[in-house]
Amino acid sequence: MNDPGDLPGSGAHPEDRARGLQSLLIEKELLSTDLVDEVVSKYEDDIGPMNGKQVVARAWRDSDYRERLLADSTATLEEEGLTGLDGVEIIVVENTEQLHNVMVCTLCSCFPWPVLGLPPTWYKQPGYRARMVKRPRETLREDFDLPLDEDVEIRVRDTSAEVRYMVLPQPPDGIEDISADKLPEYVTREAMIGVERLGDKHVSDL
Amino acid sequence: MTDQIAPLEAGTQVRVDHVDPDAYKRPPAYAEGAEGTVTAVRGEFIPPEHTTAEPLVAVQFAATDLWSDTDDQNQTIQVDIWADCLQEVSG
Repeated sequence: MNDPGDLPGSGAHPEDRARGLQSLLIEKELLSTDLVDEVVSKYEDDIGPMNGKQVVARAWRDSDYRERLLADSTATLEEEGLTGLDGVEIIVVENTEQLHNVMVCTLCSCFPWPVLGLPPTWYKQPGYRARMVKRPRETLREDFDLPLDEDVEIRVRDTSAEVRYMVLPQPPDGIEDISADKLPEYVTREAMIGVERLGDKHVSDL
Repeated sequence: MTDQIAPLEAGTQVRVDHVDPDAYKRPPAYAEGAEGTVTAVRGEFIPPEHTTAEPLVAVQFAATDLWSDTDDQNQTIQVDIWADCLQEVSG
């Protein structure tokens, strides 16, 4: 295993390193500030978990959509312009009382970014990637405060470059009283990864 | 390289072959030699650094079949594996 001390620049804070790289690339005219701004704003405004939240909220209130989404996720998401990864499948998997899906990329950090945006830092770290595939029940309980009884099947989805996953969480109680435009606010990125469960909660808790 | 008899389909029992597939198609180390069930055919994809599309299938394993030091009877792992890294097993 690499000792991070051996790698060049390994002492520098990642942000400082990124800034240094950016300055150098701009100085050498290999990158423009406009392009950087455009990409940043795309990830802040257009791409992110808000897309996934819209999908989940719609699936909660529209059973035809939910069926189509689960039957052929990639095609259904494409209709809404929510792919952008050519030749990649995004498969939406449904969590229920008895089945809890959770995703991880053991090899690297593949993530369904068109619907969830950039992956959280913890998702990319070796600790999560090694523990979640082997000891998901323990990891969910200890690292995510999500205890699951032994009678709930935990299905770990090891995601890859070609096939990515997104969880359709169970809705919390009380969503019938929430208007359609507010419903996405009750969905979390963590629930769409599978490290949080909304079905055990009430909307008033969220 | 093993001969594939027929395209793998859901329900087939398979074993992850411990041969030396190329670096871009290697199944996860934890699955090497393990037996599982095909749960879905994902379709044809072009592997990295390859030019032709190949079939990829979803394989599901019980945790207890992958690791000897787990006793969680209700844990499964589903991984997408290139079809030519899988050998059909009978029974």
